[in-house]
Amino acid sequence: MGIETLKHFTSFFVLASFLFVSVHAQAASITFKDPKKDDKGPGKYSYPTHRSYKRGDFDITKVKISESGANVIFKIYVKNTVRDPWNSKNWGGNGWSVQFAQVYIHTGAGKGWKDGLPGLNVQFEKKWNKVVLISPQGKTRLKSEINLKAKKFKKGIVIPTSSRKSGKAIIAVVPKSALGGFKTSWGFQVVMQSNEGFPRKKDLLTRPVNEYNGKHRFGGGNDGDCDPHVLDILAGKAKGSGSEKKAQYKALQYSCKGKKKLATLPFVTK
Amino acid sequence: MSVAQLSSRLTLLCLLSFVIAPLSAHAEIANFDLGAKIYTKWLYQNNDRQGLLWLGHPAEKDNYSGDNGVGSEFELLIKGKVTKYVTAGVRIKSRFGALWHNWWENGDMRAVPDNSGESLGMNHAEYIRLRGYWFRIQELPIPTLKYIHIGSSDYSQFNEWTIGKIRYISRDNGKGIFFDGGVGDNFSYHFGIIPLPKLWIGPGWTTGLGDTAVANPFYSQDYAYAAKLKFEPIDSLSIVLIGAVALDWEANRLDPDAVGTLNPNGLQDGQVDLVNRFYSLSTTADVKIELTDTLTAYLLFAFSDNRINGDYATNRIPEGGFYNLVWSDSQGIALRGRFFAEDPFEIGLTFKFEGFYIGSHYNAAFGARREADVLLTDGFLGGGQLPTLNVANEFMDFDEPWAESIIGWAGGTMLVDYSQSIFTMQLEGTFITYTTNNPINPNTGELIPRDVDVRHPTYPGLHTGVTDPDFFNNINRQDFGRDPRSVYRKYQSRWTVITRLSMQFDLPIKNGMKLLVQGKYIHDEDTRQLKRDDDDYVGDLIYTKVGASMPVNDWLHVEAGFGYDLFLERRVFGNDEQGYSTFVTNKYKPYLKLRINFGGVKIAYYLQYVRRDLLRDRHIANPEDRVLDDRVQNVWRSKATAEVAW
Repeated sequence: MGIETLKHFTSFFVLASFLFVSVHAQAASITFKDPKKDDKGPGKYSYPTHRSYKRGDFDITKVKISESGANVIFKIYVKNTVRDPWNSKNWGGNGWSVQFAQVYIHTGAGKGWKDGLPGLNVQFEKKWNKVVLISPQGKTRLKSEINLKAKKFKKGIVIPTSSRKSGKAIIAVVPKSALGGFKTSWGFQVVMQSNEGFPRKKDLLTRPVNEYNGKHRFGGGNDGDCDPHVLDILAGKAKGSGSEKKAQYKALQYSCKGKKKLATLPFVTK
Repeated sequence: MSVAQLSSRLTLLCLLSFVIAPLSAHAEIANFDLGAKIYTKWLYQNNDRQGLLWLGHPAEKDNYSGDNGVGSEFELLIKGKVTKYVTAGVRIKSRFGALWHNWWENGDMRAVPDNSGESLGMNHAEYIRLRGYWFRIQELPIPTLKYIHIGSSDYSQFNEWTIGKIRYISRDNGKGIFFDGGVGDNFSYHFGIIPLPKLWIGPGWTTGLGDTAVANPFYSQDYAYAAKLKFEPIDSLSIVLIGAVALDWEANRLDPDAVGTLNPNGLQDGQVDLVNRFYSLSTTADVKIELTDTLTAYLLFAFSDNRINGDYATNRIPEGGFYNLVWSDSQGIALRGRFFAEDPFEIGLTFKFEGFYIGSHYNAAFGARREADVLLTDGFLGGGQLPTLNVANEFMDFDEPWAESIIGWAGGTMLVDYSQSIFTMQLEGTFITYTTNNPINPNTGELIPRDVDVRHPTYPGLHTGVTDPDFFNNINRQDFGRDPRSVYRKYQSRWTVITRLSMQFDLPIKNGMKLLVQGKYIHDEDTRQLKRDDDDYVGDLIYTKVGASMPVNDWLHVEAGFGYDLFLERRVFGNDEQGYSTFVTNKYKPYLKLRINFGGVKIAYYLQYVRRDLLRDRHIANPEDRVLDDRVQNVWRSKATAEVAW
């Protein structure tokens, strides 16, 4: 190999590295962590018994939110490799099947809501202003369901430009303009649910939690709509410490007796 | 109390009863979780086959499959909580098969259909049928036991190598009794007692019915027994052991008590002895080790043992090679190892490695038949790769993926996934050699021929080229490649390379446009007899597809694209005496897909044009010297579905 050839190779390598780094160069980013094995909602929720659901599928381990040019990229990591047991291509889906994450953001700007989207049975300590739906369902299905069941929240709902899976993460690409910009000081909350293609009448593509689990129903909750239909959230300082399990279980406490008391979720900040 | 007071109180009581009675009834109904669905399908093609299903029953003639028609079905799901301890569910559904044009069919069947409305039989009668039913008992006072499930199940609790998940349309046909339990988070168990489906388990896809070797088929005591044990001693390690044995019994024909006994003068004792017609054992040990959050290793070991009692089962292999088992006893192993590095650098780059070895006699007789996939590779057909000869490409439409048997595959796959912002990519490289390749006779230097006359099924058809799932059917086996179950050859010395690249761009155009580019290249080579060069099969197969999709508005999603396939197959068709012919196949496949989601109705439409030019005898340069003529398929076909569920 001559000197010239070597120079060419070196130049090419440097250029390629530069391009690669440029592509991956990102501005602001936030990472939250969540302890493993806390995908039990308020502490006692159990998975559906069908094999499509594997323990750990709804266990958030890490959340990475980063600015990338004109977009914000949301990566929600779970304990297991994200799978597609229901072959989402057949129903115009995004490449995975069982997870459905909702990222609530307290920006403090514009209209806000304290209630979670239909099907979750939760409310928030502070008003959320935007919620990003990271769903395996295609855009037209999402929009159709929103129009039917969540019209009053429509201004706050953001459907990503692109949603996909990669390894153990589900990923959403959202234009910054849809969020009204991007600030790492915002408050965030990630609610992990399960995608239900045949939801109940008022549920926004979510899977209910019952008293006992069934083939496609979570268990450990209540047969009424007073329990949070939520498997995992960020809690405490969102550093992934064991104490955050307790913080989550506490945040998701609810009461079905007498006057219904919904679980009230906090926002976490960087 | 006066009569008037009594009368008024009685009136009040009556009124209250009227008011309370409906409330009570409502309370009972509130315990029911009801779900209903109407599904309608339109299937149309430029031919004259009438019916609602592209590929119907592979063996029995039916009167509902075809390419032109529209029909509907209705289903009702009822789930209820009987008590704190018991839940139950039922699915009732109308029979799918009647065309809207049938107008009225009451189920009567006549030899020749007529316009009476009483001639097409039950398949066109839209009768409501009990499709599935189950109940589950929980919180039993038995330590470790979580629940007992009795009734319908899709058997998804086990795995593809032992007892496979039943395909979606048959998801409630399977029944059984299942026990599930465990201790803490570290150990769980599941046991099942499963009646053998008479449709496909056993020699010749039967547990005795229709087999001429069995005079009085007895199938009601045929069961499979399965156990699954899962250990998770530490967070990062899981070990799953599954074992299943299927037993097909028949009445001993020499027992004087048996119906149709061959020993009528023997001493009767009021009981009938049973003999085993078919025995199938399949086991797996599946280990998963999470080395770090991003590095995971998997290892699966499988073993199968199939034994056929030749006195009670007919070997159909000599009649053309159409059979679902190796005759008569066979044992085999399979191994699969995987290593995943899932985005270890957090730049969207994932590597997956897989090595696999499926022994030539491994056969999961009760394994998954379709709608499942055990290998990372896209394979030849792009659908599922399954370790069984019972692969079922039937009762399906032209837009559904095909499954193929991987018995005999040995090799490895590397997958690279990359995703970043608006771009995703997957690259595959797979090498396969075959454990079904024949050993070499050291004395002659030639392959030792495999017994395909009695022992190994080859599936009928002279053509050994690549299966064409756009056209393959169970009638014309000559023009569309090999049966996906055809894994054995008299002479085989084969290897294959599969490479594939798939890219998707998510462009911020209007509502978001996806651009899809896919390409796959397969080189498949089988030298067949080593000392003959004029019989070497060499296939170069290219599959390409480009497409674009985007939501037009809140309710309409459109996708359009074009596929082009080129198969160059040298010495693909023929025999040793007459020589082998070279075929070239060109396929052009433009398509359009629409999806509508509006107000709770889901509509999907798929329009496809396929032109297939099969150019034969291309090893002969002069067209006038060619013996085999060229073939053309010119097909327009469409499928639309509409679903409303409430």
